[in-house]
Amino acid sequence: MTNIPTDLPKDAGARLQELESGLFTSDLSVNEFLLVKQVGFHPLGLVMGSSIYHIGLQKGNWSSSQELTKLTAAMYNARELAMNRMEEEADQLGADGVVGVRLDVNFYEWGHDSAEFIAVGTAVKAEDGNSYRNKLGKPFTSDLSGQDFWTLAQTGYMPQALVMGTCVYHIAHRGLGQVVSQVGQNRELENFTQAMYDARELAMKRMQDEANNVGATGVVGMRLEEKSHQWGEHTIEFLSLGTAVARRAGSEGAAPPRPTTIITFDN
Amino acid sequence: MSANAPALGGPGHQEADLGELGRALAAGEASAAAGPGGVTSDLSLDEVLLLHSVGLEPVQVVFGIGCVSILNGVWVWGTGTVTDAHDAFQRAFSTAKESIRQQVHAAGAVGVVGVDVDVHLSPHRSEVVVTGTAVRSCTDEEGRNHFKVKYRSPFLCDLSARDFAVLSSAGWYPLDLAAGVSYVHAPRRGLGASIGQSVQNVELTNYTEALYDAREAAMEEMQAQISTFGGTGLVDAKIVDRPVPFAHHVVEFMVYGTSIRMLAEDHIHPELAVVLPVDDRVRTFEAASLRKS
Repeated sequence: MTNIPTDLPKDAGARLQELESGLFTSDLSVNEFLLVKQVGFHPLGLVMGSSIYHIGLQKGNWSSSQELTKLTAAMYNARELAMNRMEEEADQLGADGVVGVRLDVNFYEWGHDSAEFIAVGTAVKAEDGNSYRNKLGKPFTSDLSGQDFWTLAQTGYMPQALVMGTCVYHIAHRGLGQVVSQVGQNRELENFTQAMYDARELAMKRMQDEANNVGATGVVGMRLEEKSHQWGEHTIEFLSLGTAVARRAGSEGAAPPRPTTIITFDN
Repeated sequence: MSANAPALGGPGHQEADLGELGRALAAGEASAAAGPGGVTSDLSLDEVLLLHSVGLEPVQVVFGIGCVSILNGVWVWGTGTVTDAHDAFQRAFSTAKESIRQQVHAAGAVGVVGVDVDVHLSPHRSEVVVTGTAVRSCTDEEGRNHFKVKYRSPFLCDLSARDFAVLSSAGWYPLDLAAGVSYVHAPRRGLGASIGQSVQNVELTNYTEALYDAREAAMEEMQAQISTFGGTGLVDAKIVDRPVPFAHHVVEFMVYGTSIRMLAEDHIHPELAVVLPVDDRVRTFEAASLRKS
């Protein structure tokens, strides 16, 4: 545990060494803290990864729908850098995983085509001494809340990795002739539909590939975000994010507890 | 929890002296707390009942203010961190905590729950206002305290009364608010570098390092405070991460929360039941809807 990852800033090393002495910090709420403890994990510390990334230039062809591979690569690499640094911090703490991960992108005014990608989560370690790391030997990561983490654990599944797929897509403008010929009519704009469809499929496919990589049997809590960031309205980033899960060996009989139905008085 | 539960609060806790103003305030509150009907609180009925279940009752609303000036010119785009703003925040924060503690002492309370931390930064000052409900132990006819934990100096927690009750039922108790902050100048990039990189995907390592270092320093600062208080953990950390509104080239990172400590022998797992509420959403009458015609 003495080998401080060289990629991390020196302050991180010092802070993390202090955390090894038993102090923990976490941004879990009290409820989440108790639920994570209930599953048998103890929080170790707030872990963070950050990368400020300059996003290269790529202009889409005005009239064609296409993926902007350079922008996709930028969004992907920058997030990977932030996530890896967060994992390194967790790894240094000897964590089994990171729960409640949040991925944010900040664009600063002074940034000129650059953005900050930041990943924050709470590193946790199993109290039973078993290793819960994923197939790649890294701490698992997950954006599930403490509540979802508890529920998932009741079913015998454990998170493996926060997986993502992204695709920056340029959606073609409609030609003048097209616009004029379609005025006043009800009709589907096939090129728009097709472009949105393709971009989403690409993002989701990439996410699934990541999930397969860690040997997951499924992805839960998945969501698809569409953002234009600073590229104007015809260039859209499709980001799909979710937690890849796999069943733990020996948990075949586990079934989620049956809920008791209640009527509350506190509406 | 036995009657000889360890006393809390590190040696760092001292009573602050607010001078004449502080004494006047303290005198006023002591009489208010002693008089009948002197109880004020911003807690809901449910929260009061929950507090009673752990042996506490509300006394009054208490607050503390810290306001420290910032020198002229520190926000001009430079390099490194804005240490003056950092120091001003930390002084304002500890002044606010000291002054709320004075009121807690005066009210004869053991601590404050549901502290609302309001931080206001302007170009020339850093201001911290903390407001919460002071609570004291319920007593029975023979004057025995229901709340068994002895605090050496009043606890402050920004957790709600509900969270306090839940946390203490698991064996953990709050100690004090801890905060870390950093204000860091975005490094300037040389013109050559800007042009050279304008079409490339590249990580700006000097930017990353500057922000990352400042954030780690802020988190370390918070951890150091927790250790001083004798805490072993911190839950529900709040993170503020944004460009300073009046100086966009400075990135603010602030993290604060309530340090906690386990007093029971071992973590007590609460019993959980999975429930499924089957009530429909209640449609309530809204007076505002009448205005739309």
